[in-house]
Amino acid sequence: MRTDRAPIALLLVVLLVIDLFPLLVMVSLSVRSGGAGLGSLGDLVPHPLSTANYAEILAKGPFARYFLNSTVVVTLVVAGNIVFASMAAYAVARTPGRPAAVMLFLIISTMMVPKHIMMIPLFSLLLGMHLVDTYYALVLPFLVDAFNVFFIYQFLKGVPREIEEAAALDGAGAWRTFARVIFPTLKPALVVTSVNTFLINWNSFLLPFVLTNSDRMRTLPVGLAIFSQGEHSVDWGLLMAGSTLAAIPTVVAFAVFQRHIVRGMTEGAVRG
Amino acid sequence: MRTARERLLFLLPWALSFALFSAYPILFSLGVSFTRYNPFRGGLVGWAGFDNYRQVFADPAFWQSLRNTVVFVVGTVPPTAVLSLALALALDRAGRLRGLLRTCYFLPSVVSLAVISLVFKYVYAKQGLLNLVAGLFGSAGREWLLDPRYALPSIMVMDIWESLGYYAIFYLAALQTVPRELYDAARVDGAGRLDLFKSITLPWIRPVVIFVVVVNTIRAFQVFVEVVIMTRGGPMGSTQTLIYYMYEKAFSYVKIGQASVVAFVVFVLIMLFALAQVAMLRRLKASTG
Repeated sequence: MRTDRAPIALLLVVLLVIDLFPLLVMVSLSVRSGGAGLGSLGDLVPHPLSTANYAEILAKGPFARYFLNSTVVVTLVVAGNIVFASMAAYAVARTPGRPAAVMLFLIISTMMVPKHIMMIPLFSLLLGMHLVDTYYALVLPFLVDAFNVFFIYQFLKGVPREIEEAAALDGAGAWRTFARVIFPTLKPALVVTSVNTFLINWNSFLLPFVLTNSDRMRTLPVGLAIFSQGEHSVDWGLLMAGSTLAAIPTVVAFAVFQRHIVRGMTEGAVRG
Repeated sequence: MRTARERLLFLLPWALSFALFSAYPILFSLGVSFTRYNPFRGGLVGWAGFDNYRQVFADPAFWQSLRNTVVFVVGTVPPTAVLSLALALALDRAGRLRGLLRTCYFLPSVVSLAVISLVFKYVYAKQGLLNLVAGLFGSAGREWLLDPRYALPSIMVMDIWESLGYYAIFYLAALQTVPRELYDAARVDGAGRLDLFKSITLPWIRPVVIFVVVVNTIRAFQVFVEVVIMTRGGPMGSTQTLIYYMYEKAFSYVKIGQASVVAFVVFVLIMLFALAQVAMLRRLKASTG
């Protein structure tokens, strides 16, 4: 089968250009001056290059605030998942017998709950607590993702118990054993957890869209969507500059942590 | 970690989150679907029996949303399953470029669906990219998202484009677990390439095919982000989907009871699919020993 490798690779490269064309156009429009679209395909390579759209969107309007909000929210959510999901995973892994099976069942069921069902109840709940349109609304519901608990639990099953038994003999309590002995061994699983949680929450639209209603609290994807629906005709240059800025962190994270992301996705799934 | 009290303490954050953000929403949706409810006026207004169900099921817009959603699911899930498998098969044979190509094809999946939707709003605009390309072939171009005939298919094409590289990753991982000896043995027996695919590859990766179809079906049933950003359900309801219908009922008309009916109906549909997946995988395991 060696002979057909080159043509297949070539075909894939050609198709790739088509596949990534919309994203290329996004970047191209963002570095053109003016907000109109392309006049012809020849305009795809912008000359002169202009960073005016970036300067304008960062200086004007609430875009910088959106960026800050996304950063704050995602940082807190990732931190919460690292701590709380590993605590829960540890407790489940060290619970004997039937109670552990029940907890695992609940965790796996939670993973299957579709997000849409949370929209209305979560809005009502947070409205009642006067938390709609605050950081609490954007952070609290996402602090412990069931998938992360399950993923770390799977990893913990492979960690030998002897090390924590030794710690217990030295008189360390449960919290100390967890913080000093267990937590450091979880590092590979926590990298996967962090990157996945970052990607999911940085890109999240559905719930942040419903749970915020002012420019002060919008996250990037929501703010951009609202911006695109303003009363004036769309300024594509500004919009694509904002879109590119929103996409850069995830693309960089993906480039750096590719292997971890793929592992987080396929582990479990492929084994059925 | 020896006492039950210690374990409970460690579980507490997850347990709270589970109770408030998973169990409660499901029970709330079921309960509220039988009431008149207004969160802006202190909550429960009164019981409604099956009124909300009757009103939703009597609403032509609900049936149109259901029809659009089914069209979306049927029109995106099978093409995505087939095309991403084709992509994975090609990537598997791409030799040294495999890793790099896989990365590049995956790229659209790490960009927010909201951003992708904005980009495709330009692609489909009157002066947009698609019409520019169509112009090269002498086509006059159209308003893709403003034409009831083309709006939903346009969103569907975007959805397939966006998820191809994502699902290809799962297939590719599965393809790499197929034992090479199986192919060698079959080739000795004179099997052609299509035979190899049908009798070895496909049966081997069948659990992943089921996984891809079910996960994508569950996702497609909830299609919302594209609709809210690109068309707001229009033109003439042609892109109104179930979750968009639910969203409008709740947040534009404050009909929380009716919206919860829709939320719960979609929830039940999705759970049925998830259970069907488990059943299919069980049967598969039983039949292959």
